[in-house]
Order: sequence, then C-alpha cells, then structure tokens
Amino acid sequence: MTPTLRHDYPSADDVQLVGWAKGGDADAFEELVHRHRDKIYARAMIMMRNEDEAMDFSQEAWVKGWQRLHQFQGDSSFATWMTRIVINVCLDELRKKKRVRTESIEELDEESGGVERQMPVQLANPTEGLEHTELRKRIDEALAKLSEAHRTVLVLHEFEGLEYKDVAKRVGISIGTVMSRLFYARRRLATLLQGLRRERTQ
Amino acid sequence: MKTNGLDLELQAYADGQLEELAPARRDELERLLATDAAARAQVDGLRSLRRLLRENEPVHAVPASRDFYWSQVQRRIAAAAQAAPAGRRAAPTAAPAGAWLRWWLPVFGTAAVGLLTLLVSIGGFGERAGRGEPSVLENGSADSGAVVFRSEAEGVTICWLD
Repeated sequence: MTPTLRHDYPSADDVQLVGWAKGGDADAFEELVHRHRDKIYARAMIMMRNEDEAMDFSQEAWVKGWQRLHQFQGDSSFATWMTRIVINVCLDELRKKKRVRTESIEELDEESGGVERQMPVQLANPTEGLEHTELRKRIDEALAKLSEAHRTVLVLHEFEGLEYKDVAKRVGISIGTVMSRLFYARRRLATLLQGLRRERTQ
Repeated sequence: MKTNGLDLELQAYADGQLEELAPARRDELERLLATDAAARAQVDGLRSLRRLLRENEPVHAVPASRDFYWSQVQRRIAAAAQAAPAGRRAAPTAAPAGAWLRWWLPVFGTAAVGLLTLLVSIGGFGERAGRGEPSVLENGSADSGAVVFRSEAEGVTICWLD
C-alpha cells in the first residue's frame, strides 16, 4: 500500500490542495471541504430554506466535487466552482419538486403579470445603523419569505453574479421570465425591508 | 409578459444589461431619466438594493463539527465509488491505496459494530452461550456472509465478514 504523502495542509493554498486532491490525496480534499463548507452550505440553505436539505445537498455537492475534480481547470476559484456545483444540485432538486407540486397562486399571479405596478423598488436606507450581522440576518429572513422561484432568480443574479441570459439557461426559463421574476423578487424584498424600517422606528 | 415594460427596462438599465437586450433603448431611457424623477428614483432604488444584497449576503454555518461533516462526505464518496462502474471508481485519479483504506475503514467498522449488536440481541443466543459451549451463529442476512463466533467460557466474541 502506498500511504498518502502528508503535506502541511492548513498552510497550503487552494491551488496546491486541489493539485494534491487530484492525485487522490483525501486529506487535501478534506482541508478544502473544511475551508469552504460553510459557504457551500450557506448557498444551499439560502436556496432551499431547510437545514436538512442544505446539509444533504451541500454534502452531495462535495461528492460531485471530488468526482469531477479532474475537470476543474482553475478558470475560477475553487470556491466559485464548488458554489456552481451546489447551485446545480439545488436547482435539480427544485425542478424535481416542481414536477410534483402546483405553483402557488401568488407565483402564478405574478408570472402572468396580474400584479400591477404598485410601487417602485425604492429603499430609503431601511437598514441604516444595523450591525452587519443583524443586517445579514434580516436580509436572510426577507429572502425566506420570497417564493422559491423568485428567490432562485435573485440568488443567481445577485449572489452568483450571473447575467440574465445565464440565469435563464441555468433555471430553464426565458430571459423575459427572469426579468419579471427578478423585478417582483426585488420589489417584495424592498417591501419587506421597509417593513423592517417601520418596525425599528416604532 | 404583462409586467410594465418600462419597469423591466429600467431594471435592465440598472443592472447594466440593457446594452445587450435593447441597445437602441438606452439613449431614450437616459433622456427619460434626466427628466423623470420617479424613474430616476426607481433606478437608484434598484441599485441600492443590489448593493445592499451583495455586501450582506447571508451566512450560515454548517451545524455539525468538522469531523462529523467530513465523515458523512467520506461515506457518501465511498458509496458513490462503489456504485460507479468499475472503471470509474477511482475518481478523480487513482487514489493511493492507503487513502482509500482510510475512507473505507469507517464504513466497514460501522457495519461490523451494527451487525454485532444485532446478533447479540437475537433471542436464543444467551441460552446457547449459557451452556458454556462455543457458538457459531450465521447472520440472518445471507447476503452479508457474516459469521459470529462466541465462546462464553472464554468470554470471546469474534465477528468476521466474508
């Protein structure tokens, strides 16, 4: 048996760790998992809004990451590459779920344009003075209140930085639907965050 | 799509996507923005929301220890490798035998402990062992090929898997 060559894993950068892991070094891969597991889990959590699913899908993403490591060419950072994988795992799951359930009435209404132009997305600095941690928590709570379809588009555009056409491709919808969902997601989010402002001034 | 077209155009403008989607509309929109305070406020609102989100992406920490989380990932990788066609098992490249042994040990260890617990709890085992005679018990699951040998007199239990 050939024992795995021990390296100074904590001191190594991601590029070195990926190189070792590509050679079958499980300890190097473990270090990568340790470094990025929170980010990958967080992305799954934001998408799925369920701890068990986030745990399950983040682990599934790591399995795929290990299996496809030879495909990673370093065009992006390892963390970005892994984030794409976990997003795909979540999207696959959301598609499966969608096949077995009916869209909510709210979603259908918004998709069909039933909601009139009620208020523009305007933020009068609703979160001013909030601690960074508290702010993130409030944004997370607001995201949780969005419909799955709207949240998905928003996450892909805002957090993944994908352009409309790439969001459309990943989710399997038209660019027009991306724009529409994004618009309503933002408007709802702005409303929720303005509610936060009212709550704080009372 | 019945959504107000202007809203979506303003959004695309705020997102820097109008150039690609409707380049001809850019000048027109900019003229509108120069004179329409509401449209300007809308673009500003979209941009502030975008900045707010990008600077404050929610964080969630894995609700499990490093070791526990990794052990679960390891188990799944091992299971996936076993389920994969023979030629694809050694992803991403041929892993050193030592590394794979380390990955499999927890799996076999857990299976052996579970099996032993199951067999100890089987009724009748106590009676036979009570007579002080060595006992050899076959596991109920023929697929596993596991055999347990127990000698009460010597206080020894051996479990092995074929």
